[in-house]
Amino acid sequence: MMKILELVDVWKAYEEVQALQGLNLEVLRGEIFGLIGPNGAGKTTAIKIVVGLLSMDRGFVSVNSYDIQEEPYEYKRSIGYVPEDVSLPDYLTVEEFLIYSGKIRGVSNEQIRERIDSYLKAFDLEDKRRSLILILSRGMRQKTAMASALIHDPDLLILDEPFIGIDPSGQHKIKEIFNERKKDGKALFISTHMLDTAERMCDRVAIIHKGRNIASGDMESLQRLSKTGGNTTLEEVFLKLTEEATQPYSEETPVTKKRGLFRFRKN
Amino acid sequence: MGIIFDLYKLKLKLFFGSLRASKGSIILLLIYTLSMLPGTIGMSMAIVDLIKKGADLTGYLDLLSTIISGFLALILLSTLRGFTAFEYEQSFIFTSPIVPKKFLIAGMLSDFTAFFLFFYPLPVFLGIVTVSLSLSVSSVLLLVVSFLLFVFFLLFVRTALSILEAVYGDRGIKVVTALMVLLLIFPAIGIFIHIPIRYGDLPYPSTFLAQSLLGALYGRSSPAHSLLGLAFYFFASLLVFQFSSKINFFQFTTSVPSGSPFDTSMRMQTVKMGKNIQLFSRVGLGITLDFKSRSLLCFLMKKEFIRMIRDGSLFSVFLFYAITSIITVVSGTERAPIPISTLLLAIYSFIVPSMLIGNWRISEMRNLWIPLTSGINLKYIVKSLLYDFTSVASIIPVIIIGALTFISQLDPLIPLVMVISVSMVGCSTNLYVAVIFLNKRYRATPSFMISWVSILLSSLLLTPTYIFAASSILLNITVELNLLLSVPIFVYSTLIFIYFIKKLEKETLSIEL
Repeated sequence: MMKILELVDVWKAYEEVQALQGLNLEVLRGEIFGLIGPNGAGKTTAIKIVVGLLSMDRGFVSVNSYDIQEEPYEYKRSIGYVPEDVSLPDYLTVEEFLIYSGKIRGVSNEQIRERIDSYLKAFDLEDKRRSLILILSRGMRQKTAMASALIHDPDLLILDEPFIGIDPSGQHKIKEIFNERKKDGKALFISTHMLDTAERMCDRVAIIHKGRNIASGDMESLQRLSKTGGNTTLEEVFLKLTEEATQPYSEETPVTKKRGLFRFRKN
Repeated sequence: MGIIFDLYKLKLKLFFGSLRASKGSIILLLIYTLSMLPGTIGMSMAIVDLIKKGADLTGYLDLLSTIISGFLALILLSTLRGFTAFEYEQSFIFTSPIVPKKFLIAGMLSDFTAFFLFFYPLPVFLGIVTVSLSLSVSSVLLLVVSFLLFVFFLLFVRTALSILEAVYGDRGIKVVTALMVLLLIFPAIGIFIHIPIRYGDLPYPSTFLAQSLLGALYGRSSPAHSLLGLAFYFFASLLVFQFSSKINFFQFTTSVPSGSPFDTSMRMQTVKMGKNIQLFSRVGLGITLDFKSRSLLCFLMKKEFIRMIRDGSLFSVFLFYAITSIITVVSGTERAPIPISTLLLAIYSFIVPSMLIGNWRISEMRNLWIPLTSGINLKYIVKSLLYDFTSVASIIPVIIIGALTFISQLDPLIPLVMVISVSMVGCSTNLYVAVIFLNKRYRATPSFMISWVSILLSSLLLTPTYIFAASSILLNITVELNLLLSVPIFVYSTLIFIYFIKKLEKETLSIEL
């Protein structure tokens, strides 16, 4: 399968915090890829770099074969993004916001109309079509943001904690939409703390810790890597690997590539 | 008592806590403190001077009573929304075993402390008056006791009425409150037309306080009845407070988001903006964002225009210029050395860009992730914003100037050149500064600080425009010469506008969220 997203040796520091320390990741077309890690691991920073809301200090990121630094506008036509803390223009109605989202992404009026009807139905927002976003609940805002991220039918959907605040039936519908997109060869890149959801939904997962990818692959390979056994859950794998990773690394620890997985060598 | 004191400390910490979050808030407080001082000293000295010259200030009894009554009426009106509590109080205090009475006492003590910290010029005023007029100890005591009795009367009444309104919020209590307000302010009509009722003849708390204050200033032992009157109101309100504090009102409170006037955070401003949207969108939903725009730029401009309607920005601009029109028509002083309309237009055209862009910042800063991740070329966003702001800031005053030209024989040339130039330069500089302050390092800066920087930069860049306007008016320059001089002003303003568009297109590329 072809790569749709690639992060190579990405570094990012905030004033006193080294948020990413040489992060490497690959997301393939037709897969749901999960990004998991403890609080402060660098998940949101990585996502913000990919969607163009943060610059990186060093490294290379490509989306759909576009170098995001060389072509900062063009690659964004291939991505849809929903942040963790969704803020939307309260003064617009749901329909107006979706029209706005489509127009700024260059979608034709006809397609915007069709997709608005389709996603409002899918997300149970039909009766809120002409309501101001101001009066929507958190879950409804999340669904509206999701619909706006899908309005241009992107090849890669990037979601930071997509299920927070959404009711179970809403979550079920969203998962159905994700699976349909996967079948169509589109990719999803999801950051989440909900490990059971990630385990059931994602084809591959990357565990990042202190800005580094400490392990990535499918469930079977992660179990193998963590030596936790074949019946262990992602939660157990995650706890084992992050616990091991709390040992200090040297700044330039080389990365060993083993059976298609990345793992940092401990000192 | 321990719980009351702990609650009192907590409330004060929350009141002033946001000062610690931003250096800007501390600067705001310092500026407030310093700016009040010269005015207070000046006013105190003026009053002392008047008394020394023998002016009969007791003649001002009605005026002072009216002012105090107006303040009291506002307090009473504020109780109509019931008892308000902050989110943290509802979540943590109302769910604890603390009884309502202790909560109320702690609240009143913190209100009392905050009141005196906010009205700190009052003791300064009293100090200056006392020393300058060599007031006797009894007069000073009278001043202080009267004032304290009145302040506690206010706090008791406000608390009790808010609770009664919250718990038994039927029409009866509202009618009683409204009647009290009407009774309080009715004698104020006497200032404008002759009516047989005067504050001085009525046993109102405001009258008693005014009598006490004026009596003390003249060094007379004030009529004992004014002090007794205040004491009566104090004890009556205490009784009502005692009754209401026994009611468990915790479940009837209305939530309010913040408890500090120093909270200039984006969250707080967003909450305030939400209230504006609720109010103005009732009208603003008449114009909708649809597919009809001819181009992407037109579409984006329409979207911004809709925002300005629905968040009340456009209404504020209309209000500013409506005031200009009314004052101009009423005053009819167009033949004064500097016409009042030109002066007001100069002030408002300078304020409007700052206000428009300040509102944009509050509404849109948190939503910038949408265009930034969309792949749209940001030059469209910059242009749509600037074209919209400049249009709104210039077209409305141009219409007003047109109307005033016919109604008040206003000479339109100078005001027209001025408002168009100020709109172009003001909007572009304000937006540029706003975008610079989107940088992560400066993002916590309070809005008023950003406005100051914008105003400073705009003022510098608008110097040629103001020199042109002032010299044209003061030197009585001919229309022909004015027309000739206005050409370079337009060219200059356009160049500034284009320069900032280019700068903004570059700056927006480096916005990080």
